[in-house]
Amino acid sequence: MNYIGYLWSTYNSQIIQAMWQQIYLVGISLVCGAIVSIPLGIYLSKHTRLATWVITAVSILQTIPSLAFFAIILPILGIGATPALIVLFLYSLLPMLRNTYTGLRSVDPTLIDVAKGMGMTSFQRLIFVELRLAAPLIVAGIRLSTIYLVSWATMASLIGAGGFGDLIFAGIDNYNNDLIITGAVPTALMAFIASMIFTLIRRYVTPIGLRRA
Amino acid sequence: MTVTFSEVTKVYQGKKPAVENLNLEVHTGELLVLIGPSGCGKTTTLRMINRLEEPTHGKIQIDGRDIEKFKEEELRRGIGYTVQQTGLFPHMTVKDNIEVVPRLLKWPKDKRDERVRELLAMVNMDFEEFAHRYPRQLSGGQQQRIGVLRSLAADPPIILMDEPFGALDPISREVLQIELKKLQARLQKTIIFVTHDIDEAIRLGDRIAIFQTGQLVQLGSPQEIVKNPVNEFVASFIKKNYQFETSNLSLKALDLASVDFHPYESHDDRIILSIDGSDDFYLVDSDHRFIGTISKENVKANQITADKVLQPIRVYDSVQNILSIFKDVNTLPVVDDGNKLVGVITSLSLMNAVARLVGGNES
Repeated sequence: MNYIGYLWSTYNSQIIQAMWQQIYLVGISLVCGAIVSIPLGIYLSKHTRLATWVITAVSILQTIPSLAFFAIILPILGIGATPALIVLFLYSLLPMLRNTYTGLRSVDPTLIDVAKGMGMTSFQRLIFVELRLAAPLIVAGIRLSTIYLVSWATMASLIGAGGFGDLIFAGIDNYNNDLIITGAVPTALMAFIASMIFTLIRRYVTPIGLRRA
Repeated sequence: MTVTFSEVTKVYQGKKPAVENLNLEVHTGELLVLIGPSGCGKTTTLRMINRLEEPTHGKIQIDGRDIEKFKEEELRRGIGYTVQQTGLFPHMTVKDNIEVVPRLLKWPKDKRDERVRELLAMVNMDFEEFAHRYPRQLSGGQQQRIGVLRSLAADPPIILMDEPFGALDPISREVLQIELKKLQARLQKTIIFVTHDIDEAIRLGDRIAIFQTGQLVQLGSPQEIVKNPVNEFVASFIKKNYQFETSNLSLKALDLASVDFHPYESHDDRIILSIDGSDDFYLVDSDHRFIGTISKENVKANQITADKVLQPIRVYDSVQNILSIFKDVNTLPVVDDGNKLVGVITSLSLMNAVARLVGGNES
């Protein structure tokens, strides 16, 4: 306890500043990613031939190591928060896209047939049936993206975007274990808390009729 | 409302026609059964009525109006639709499921509430107990009932049923068939009902349309079809599924038996059935295999063991044989080759059989 108290009293202003930068990086890239990937997933679930191509392309994006990605983007877009947000945005796409697509594709076709047969328009089917049933998987995708983003956002420090990465890399450069811990522990905590929040949301959006007793 | 098919053909690309040159008129208030082996075009025919499939050629009219002239969604909201495996939305309560079409039609809340109460009452399901349950909290039979009620919700004049009872156990299926018959007697809807079970077709249909590889091969009342199958295919289809000899000269056990069982109660995997004209109860297992008979007193006293050794007879036993046994007993269970209980001969059912013989073959 004393050690934590010591770290806090020594570095609190840096921790708070880094935390806001981290939240800013994760928050903006996550929201933009969701705005693009969820509607795209919905569209692809109705156009399955195109889906294979798009999802493959986004998967390839995901395989680029984050360090390399930041390095590549540096000469093109320079340094600061904007290029970091673009990289993080691209990384956030796949889990949400894939889960939205899979969630909608796994809705029982009988239910879609019945919804159609009862006279729902395709929009009503999407809102009242398909998205309701796919919601738990979509939220699971957002959760996964968030956890990834929290850890990748630490790398953004390398191109001057701030965040907890600043503390960690400063610690490494100066052989200062206190600084490394001051950056790493809050990062892990942040990922953990985000994960908990989305697990709760997931439970909330799971239709009561589908919840386990 | 009438539904008329005129020279309707449906071809899926690169395949033989699923339905070929179909001419058929479904009369107002009748229950028409479409039957045939799988891939015969019966389901495609059904699905063309609410435009889940579009015909390749020909036209379909409802009360003389081409269904192409309707807006797709509006057409469908005016036609009830029930499928096998219920198709109930798992995330909606019983009430929400039933209300889907009334909501699409923007009925006010009071009217919807009242309608749900009314519909549940029709099948003796208590509103307070069931309205707020989710489908998985219901038994298979209850789910299927809700599926049927849902198709009735907005009081459509036409209802399409695609093997609605196909996934149920024999007893629940029978109960639901009886309920549907009662509902239909009361509501007089135009119902088009797809099945592959000839028993079900004969029990429910006002008329039966038999399909084979996309062609309508015979259309007529159950009696006509059983009596005069137009070709070998129809004859074998009836025979295979329904051990029923209709020639007066060769009456068999089943012709003399009553087949209208009423489930009384079930104990574990045993089911007790009653039948009109007999004071005894009949005990079968979950596959409907005959175990024995139980007297009324024992059923009342909860003694669920077969207490009478009554040798059942086979469906194809001859009349002479039966009458010689029947002298000594007052009821005679009839089983098929798999020892499944298919009917019971009682004095009442014998009299009915005689009445049918005297009065021609109309029942």
